[in-house]
Amino acid sequence: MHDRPNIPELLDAVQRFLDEEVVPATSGRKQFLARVAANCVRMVDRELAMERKQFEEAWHGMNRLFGSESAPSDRIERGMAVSGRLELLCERIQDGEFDEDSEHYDLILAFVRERVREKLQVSNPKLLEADAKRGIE
Amino acid sequence: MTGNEIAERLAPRLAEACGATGVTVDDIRTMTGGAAREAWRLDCSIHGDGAEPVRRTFVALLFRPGGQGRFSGVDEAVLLQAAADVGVPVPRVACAGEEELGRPYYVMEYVEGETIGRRLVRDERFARIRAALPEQLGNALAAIHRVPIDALGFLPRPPEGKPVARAAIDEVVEIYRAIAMDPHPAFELAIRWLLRRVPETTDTTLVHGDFRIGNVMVHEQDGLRAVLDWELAHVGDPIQDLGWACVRSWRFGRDDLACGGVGRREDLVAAYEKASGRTVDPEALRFWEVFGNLHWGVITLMQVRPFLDKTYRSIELAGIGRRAAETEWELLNLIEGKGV
Repeated sequence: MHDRPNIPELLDAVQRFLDEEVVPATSGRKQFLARVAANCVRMVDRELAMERKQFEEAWHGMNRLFGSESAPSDRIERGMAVSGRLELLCERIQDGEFDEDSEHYDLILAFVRERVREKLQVSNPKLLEADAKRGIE
Repeated sequence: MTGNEIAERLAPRLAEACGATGVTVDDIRTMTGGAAREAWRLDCSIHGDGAEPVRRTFVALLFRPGGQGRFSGVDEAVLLQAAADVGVPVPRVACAGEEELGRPYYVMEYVEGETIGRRLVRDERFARIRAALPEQLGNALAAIHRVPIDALGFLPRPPEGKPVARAAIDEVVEIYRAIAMDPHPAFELAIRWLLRRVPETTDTTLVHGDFRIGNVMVHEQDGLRAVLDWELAHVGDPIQDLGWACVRSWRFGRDDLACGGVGRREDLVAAYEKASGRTVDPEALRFWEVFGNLHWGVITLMQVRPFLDKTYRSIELAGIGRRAAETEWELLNLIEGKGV
């Protein structure tokens, strides 16, 4: 539908401009903010690259634990559907249903860990790498 | 208010405080400008009788009128003085007031050193002093917890009728419920974990509330010179400060060194126990470390709200928006007993 450059290529151009031209030409607070901006662009790039896979894994995980539901096809609806199911999980945790002495505690912990891992794969993959070196996965 | 106006109005108060015949402000410039407080650096000449003027540097903290804080800037100056009196390393307060600037302020001596955590944890020039820091931090905390609180009526105090730690959980959970835009099951699990482990503390003291690498002034020769950022001080469980000092977000990449990336948790605890005479229950410390990570995660969610509400659309706030996941990950590690 659109000509090249495609989305990752455009994001790469913005990120390079920030890192290679704005950061060296600025100092102090402006330089710090330019680094933050470049990092935000990298985050968008990673999210777009992993979006489909992360959605499918989260949805399958929820289907296994809480019963099967069909997934919406629209991107925005998908995000809302995942949030809605996680809200329900939060309520059940608040009610004490998944406390440490409950039957499904370990399964819930593992499920929640996977969802947090997905967030970090987008927002801060370096933290995951550092922990993997310490044997925390 | 411009720097020159501030200088003109503070000079007479500084002269009085220094017992000088006059003070000339040779240079004034802004150091940081937060929403709630501004910091100005003042390079001054102190004039005495006849002799050459003495050059001294001060920092003036100006607070928003009315204030958002839990107590006023003038109260904070009183707190710093009370801390200094029992040997807490803090900047010496020169003067405090409200009338001169139409808003609460205090002026303190400028303390030379480094506060930026990344540099303290990583730079070679601090390598030698890093070894001494856990002991210095433990000693400073023990002194903070010795500050007499009876005369400091402005400090927030825990409500009667429930354990201090339970009140702390309730306060953070209430904020979380009010501000979170997205579900965080890891926070919910951590809250359940905490609720089952509320320490029954009766030993309450002054708690600094934000004691960590990043909020202390460190000099490369002699180490800890001043404990800064007292605006979250309150009366509570002293172990809260030790747990907060070990929160992962201020280890700056040295995750193996739980005490602010500069030392082991055990080093901080040993120094604190020796200096305070208290015994630190490892379970209570773990409770407060988990609490601290949750608290910090909720603070990151608070910090991004002005961006999401489109009242302050800074890229800096946008960048904070997704940091809560780091605290969620660490909370899972802690409640599963993974890592240090």
